[in-house]
Amino acid sequence: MTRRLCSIEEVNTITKSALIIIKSSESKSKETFEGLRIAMSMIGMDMMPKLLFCDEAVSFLWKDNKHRNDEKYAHYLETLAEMAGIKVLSTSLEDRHLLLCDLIESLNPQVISPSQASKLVSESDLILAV
Amino acid sequence: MSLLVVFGGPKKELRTLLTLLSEEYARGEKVKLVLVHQACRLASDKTPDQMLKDLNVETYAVEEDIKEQDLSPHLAEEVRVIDYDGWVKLLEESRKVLSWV
Repeated sequence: MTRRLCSIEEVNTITKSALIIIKSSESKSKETFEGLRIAMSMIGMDMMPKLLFCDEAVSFLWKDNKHRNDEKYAHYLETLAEMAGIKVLSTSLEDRHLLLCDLIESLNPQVISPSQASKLVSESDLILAV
Repeated sequence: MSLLVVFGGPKKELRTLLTLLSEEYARGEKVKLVLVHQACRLASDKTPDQMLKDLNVETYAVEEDIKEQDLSPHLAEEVRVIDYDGWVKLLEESRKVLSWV
């Protein structure tokens, strides 16, 4: 059977909404950067992804996280926060005894409940967790 | 058609994943779970995660990863082993895919 690759235009008509879930810990920062890079690439292709931080990855949004001074990381996060918005799973914050005020204020993260997050998953055509 | 979830994370992340799928269950969506890499160990438990049982998730494990970790003798009855062709077939049958690795 011969298979044909889709063009970007075709992909855009198939994929209506994308959700990138960032869940890896700071020790796996490469994966997180990759997720942010994918999200940036999607914006470059006129596809606006939604971005959800959960589990260990909430530490990336912490004011004192060790990647804070990494220019590339800060640029990705700030751009994505401004263009796509950043959502954080409430239970992941609670599990780590973190509050909204512990997160980087300029990113304006939106805390959402598990049921709201579940709705995001349900509404998305493409979901990638890294 | 169903939702295909490819999971390769540690067990602790499975809880978050299943929580995020609750809306899909509420809509009556059939969820199929393919375990890859380290997550194949979840298929080796004598009693796989209770949440998987409760949600009646159809669970598959990739043969190559099972062999690599020598998990074959310990597989739970509920878990179906698939090769790459079987995985592709599942992909083709699915409405959408969630990749969690």
